[in-house]
Amino acid sequence: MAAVAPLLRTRELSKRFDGVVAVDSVDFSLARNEIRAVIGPNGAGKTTLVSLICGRHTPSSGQITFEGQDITRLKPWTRATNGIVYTFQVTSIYKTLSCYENVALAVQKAIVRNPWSRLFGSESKISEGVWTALDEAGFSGMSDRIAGELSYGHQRMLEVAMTLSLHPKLLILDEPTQGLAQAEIDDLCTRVRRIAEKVTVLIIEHNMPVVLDLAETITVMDNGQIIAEGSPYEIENNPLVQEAYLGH
Amino acid sequence: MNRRLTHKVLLLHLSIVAGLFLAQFFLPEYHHTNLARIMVLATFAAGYNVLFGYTGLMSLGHAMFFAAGMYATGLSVYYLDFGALSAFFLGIAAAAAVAVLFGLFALRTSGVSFLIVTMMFGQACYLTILYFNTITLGDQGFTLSNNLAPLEIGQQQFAFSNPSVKFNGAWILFSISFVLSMVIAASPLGRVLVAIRENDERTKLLGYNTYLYKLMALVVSGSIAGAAGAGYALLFSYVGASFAAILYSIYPLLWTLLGGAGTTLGPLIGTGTMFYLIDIASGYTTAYLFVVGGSLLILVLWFPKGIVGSIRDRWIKWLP
Repeated sequence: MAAVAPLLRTRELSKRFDGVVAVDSVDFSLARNEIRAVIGPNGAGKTTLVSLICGRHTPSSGQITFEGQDITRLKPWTRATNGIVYTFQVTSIYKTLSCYENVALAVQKAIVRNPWSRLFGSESKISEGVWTALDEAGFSGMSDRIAGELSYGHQRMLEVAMTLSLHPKLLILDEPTQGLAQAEIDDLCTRVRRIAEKVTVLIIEHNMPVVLDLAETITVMDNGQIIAEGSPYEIENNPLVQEAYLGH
Repeated sequence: MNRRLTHKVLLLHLSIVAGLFLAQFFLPEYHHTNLARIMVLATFAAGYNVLFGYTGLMSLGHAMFFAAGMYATGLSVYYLDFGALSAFFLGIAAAAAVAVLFGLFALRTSGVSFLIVTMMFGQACYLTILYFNTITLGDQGFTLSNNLAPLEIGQQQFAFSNPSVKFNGAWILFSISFVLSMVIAASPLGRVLVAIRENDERTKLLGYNTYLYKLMALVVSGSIAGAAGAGYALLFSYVGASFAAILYSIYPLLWTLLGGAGTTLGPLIGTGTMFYLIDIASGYTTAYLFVVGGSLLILVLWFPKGIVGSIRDRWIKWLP
């Protein structure tokens, strides 16, 4: 494992909220191009951990490195620009804007490099990227629909399409199957597997069939700490994990 | 194809600009003067709209930018005998500088805290003008008519006392701010500003430095408001601290809300409507503020998106 430099590594990473330790001295590392699942009971600190990684929260102590660089103090927008992209636990899109505008915000960020064009550039190049992204995500013919009027499943997929348009290196999916129907979950899994050919995926998930289906390695958290890590088989048979899930 | 700046949008804006220009040949004298004043105040509202309507940051301190433009222009003409054009650009620069300084502090806050901080800075600015009364002549105000030389372009001279110069000066000022609003609304910049208004956190996590974008919006907004203040000083030849008072921070908010926040046409429609509402109501009763208050109540209850915003929702969806 240690031979290849990891894509992401945290060292003794902690986050305290008013005395509550949500993430407690976590050492976590992620290899390039793997699909990693993080599981654990509610309140285990999973979302806080990935929020520290993507920059929504600043850590109380500890260090985060990404591609060998210390990113602990970087702003969330710099981390996103560097390739760490997050999809929210509760879908976060622009509900009053059209699907086109939602995706355009991501495409514009990803492809427009010249500072002047970022403010006043023409739409034609952006537009091309948006149509491609909408087609790929199965949103053809829905570009003018207002995002907030879509079904919940479609809103999720729209958010995934937006984040993919940013060409992430690390895609963090926070409980992506929550609130989806089984057919939509199958769709999403197929999609994630295709994404993972090029992108490292970190997925927080409660749905165990999905986790076992997708992940090569599973990390288990409880009370802000990592209590186990290993292949799906190892995790299923780990007594600590069983205890955390069945109660103390 | 540009989905945002379509021929329809362009044609609408240019016809409004042309229509306003032609209005001077038809309007009776009284309305001629009114429209000139409305266009300058609508410029103020257009500046306010960039920050409030598009970026979603509500300010109650915009009088400070209007006053910065007005005083930088007025004082440089009064004391230093600046020409109209250099005084005007100095006014814009002063407002922009105030906006940058102010933004560095105020944009650390958001929502209600931002509103309160803007109000406090605005009041501080107003009291500063009164405090340095010996220089600013703030409490009684001063006129520029004795100091301001006519504007010379080539062989032509334009005296600011001439109603037609007033009108066309106001028309140029408004047209620039109006077309600029249209360009911003259709640009990648405008898209990000709206994104910040709709969902700040998502925008951050898409990789946009939202702080920097808000600062840009504030500086553009403050500069346009400052241009309106500078224009007001030159065209109506009066500079006074009353324009820095809280009332002149509330006005652009009301005008923008009435016309439709986040629409390019809203500021003009809102300013014009409010101006004539007060004008007509005060002809019938001294309690004309009742009429104003009542119409605002109706607006908030049934048309929260303002006149143009409601038209866009119901009928003309492509309005920017």
